[in-house]
Amino acid sequence: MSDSYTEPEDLELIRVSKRFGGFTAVDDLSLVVPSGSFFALLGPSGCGKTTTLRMVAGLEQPTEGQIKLGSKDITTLRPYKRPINTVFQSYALFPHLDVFENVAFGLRRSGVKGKEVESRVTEMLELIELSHLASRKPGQLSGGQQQRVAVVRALVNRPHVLLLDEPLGALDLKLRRQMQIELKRIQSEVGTTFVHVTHDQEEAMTMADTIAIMNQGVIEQMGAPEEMYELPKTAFVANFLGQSNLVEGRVSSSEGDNLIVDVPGGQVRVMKSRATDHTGSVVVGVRPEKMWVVANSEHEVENSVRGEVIDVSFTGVSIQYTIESEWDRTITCFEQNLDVEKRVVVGEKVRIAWEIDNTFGLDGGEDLEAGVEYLGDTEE
Amino acid sequence: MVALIPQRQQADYEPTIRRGNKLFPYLLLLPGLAWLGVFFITPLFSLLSTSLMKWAGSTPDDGFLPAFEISNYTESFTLYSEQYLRSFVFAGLATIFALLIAYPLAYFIAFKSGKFKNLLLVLVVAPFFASFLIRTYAWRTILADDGAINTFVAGLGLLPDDRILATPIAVVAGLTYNFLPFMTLPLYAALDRLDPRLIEASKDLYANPIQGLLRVTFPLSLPGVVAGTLLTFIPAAGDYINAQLLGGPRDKMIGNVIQSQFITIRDYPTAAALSFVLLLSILILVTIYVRRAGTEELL
Repeated sequence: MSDSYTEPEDLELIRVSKRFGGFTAVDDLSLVVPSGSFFALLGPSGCGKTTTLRMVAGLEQPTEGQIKLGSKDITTLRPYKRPINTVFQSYALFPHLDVFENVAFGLRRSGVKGKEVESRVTEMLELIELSHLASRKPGQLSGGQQQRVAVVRALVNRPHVLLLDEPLGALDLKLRRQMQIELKRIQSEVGTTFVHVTHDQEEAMTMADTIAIMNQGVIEQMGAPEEMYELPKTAFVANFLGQSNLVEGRVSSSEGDNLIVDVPGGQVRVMKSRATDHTGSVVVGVRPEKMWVVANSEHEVENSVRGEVIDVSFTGVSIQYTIESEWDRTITCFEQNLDVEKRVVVGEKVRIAWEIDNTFGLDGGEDLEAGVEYLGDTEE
Repeated sequence: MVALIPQRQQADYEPTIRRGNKLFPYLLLLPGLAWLGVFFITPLFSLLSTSLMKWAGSTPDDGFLPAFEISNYTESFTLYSEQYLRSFVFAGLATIFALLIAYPLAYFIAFKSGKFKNLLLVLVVAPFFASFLIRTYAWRTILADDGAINTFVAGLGLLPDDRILATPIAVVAGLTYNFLPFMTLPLYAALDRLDPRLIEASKDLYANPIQGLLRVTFPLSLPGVVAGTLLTFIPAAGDYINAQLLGGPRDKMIGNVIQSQFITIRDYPTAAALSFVLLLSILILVTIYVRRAGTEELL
């Protein structure tokens, strides 16, 4: 509601829980969203991410815990008294008001007067290049146009935090990609803290500086997209953010900076710094694109696994091999389309290799299939 | 600030629903049109021709002759303008009171009633299980001079004549009560289909609950308000039961005049002319009202 962008105000959730009857939607969640960051809450449907967002907006009350903006406790503050605005999933534009009045709604309610309302709304409509549609009703706009109006309707109020609840879910793929880049650009332009809720991992990685991956009401892992992709800490993160090949094993010994893990059919080496557990039973994993098919089977490689190719699919940029491996698990390997001459065919016995640096270790007892069911799930 | 987002053309998309026969939709209208023709248009013309007839003799028993007696109309104005005016005032007041009672009721049923929603809707309609006449008669007891309500209100010294029954208050109260379900149901329908996310959006955009109600909920429920007020005002303006059972001799509405002209005096041309004027004046009032309410684009 105030005009200050300047004062840095971190959004902080402290041990927040939300229960609906017997169902725990959000479970003892704590996180800090630094001022000015583009933060994504990523998780499958029903993981509690939207509930978290609604508690920040003030549309739900936490059962327990505290929400702070800067030094101010906003836990029980009414939504209309919070300097926070939301871009709703379905846009929730007011159908009885034209585009101009939709954007002006928040300004008028917070007592901004005539001339300033006009200049600020006009500025925002120019920002999204929809000035010529100012007198249209939302029903007369396309999905992409409505989406942009919804963004500036929230932004025009210069909120301290902008919440985005799956704002691109209703758009087609091409437009969604375009809007992702535009939203990111608007964010860096205005410098407002953006908290973006999505179940689309690619969208989260494209847009956010920090991602928190939520599953069943708790945060599984939080960090920069690259960091989390390269070094997932749980099987859920390994499978939900991109794809992973995981295998259960047992640490047999250590060798310098590396752990040697016995897996079915052989041994795999993993750096101690990249493993969450250094003893007993563990899970070892590697991303499919870090692997390659070894041409000469005698060639010296750091880590490898043997298997039979059961499917080859050509996507143009890469070739995706599905391999029934000696781990007793089907693994996936993406090979960049470099060599036109030599291709592996279905039924061929192959050896797949990867580097120790690209191997990661997880706690033993992790469910290897956690998060797999959401693979490729980009629609609600 | 620079323009950040490239413009995208509005998606042209046309629904391509085709029905083999273009006449099909009109065939669906046929039963309704036939009904309207037989039970509305025909009687309307009969009413119009009756309203222009003249007396054949000195009593109604002598019958009426086809004529063009405009005086039936001029007399209905000059003699009964007071009753017309009173009808519209009473009906208008009843509509306003019904709206004031029904809006919070419908709002509660639509948004706050949870699992009791259906039960409450049944309760709204429940009075229809008893006859209109009986219910109105019951109000005579409720508002009776020695009844609890009358004693209480008169005790406060609020009543000029120390009574409610046989006053305009009783008539308006009866009309309000009798047409309340007709107001509540359309309001409920309009509020129930209102997207609750719009109310959340208004809160998010700094509207306090009262601003949210005035700026979002109420404008979006206008189709229901218009439907409810019409369903209340139109029958209330032509009603005579409430004025007859609950009103005094000075509280007659135009319905009472028409009823006595038709049934007691049997002056059909005058009664028909009165009915026709009532019909036209309601039509004019309603047209102005719907125009001013500006709900065309919402309907």
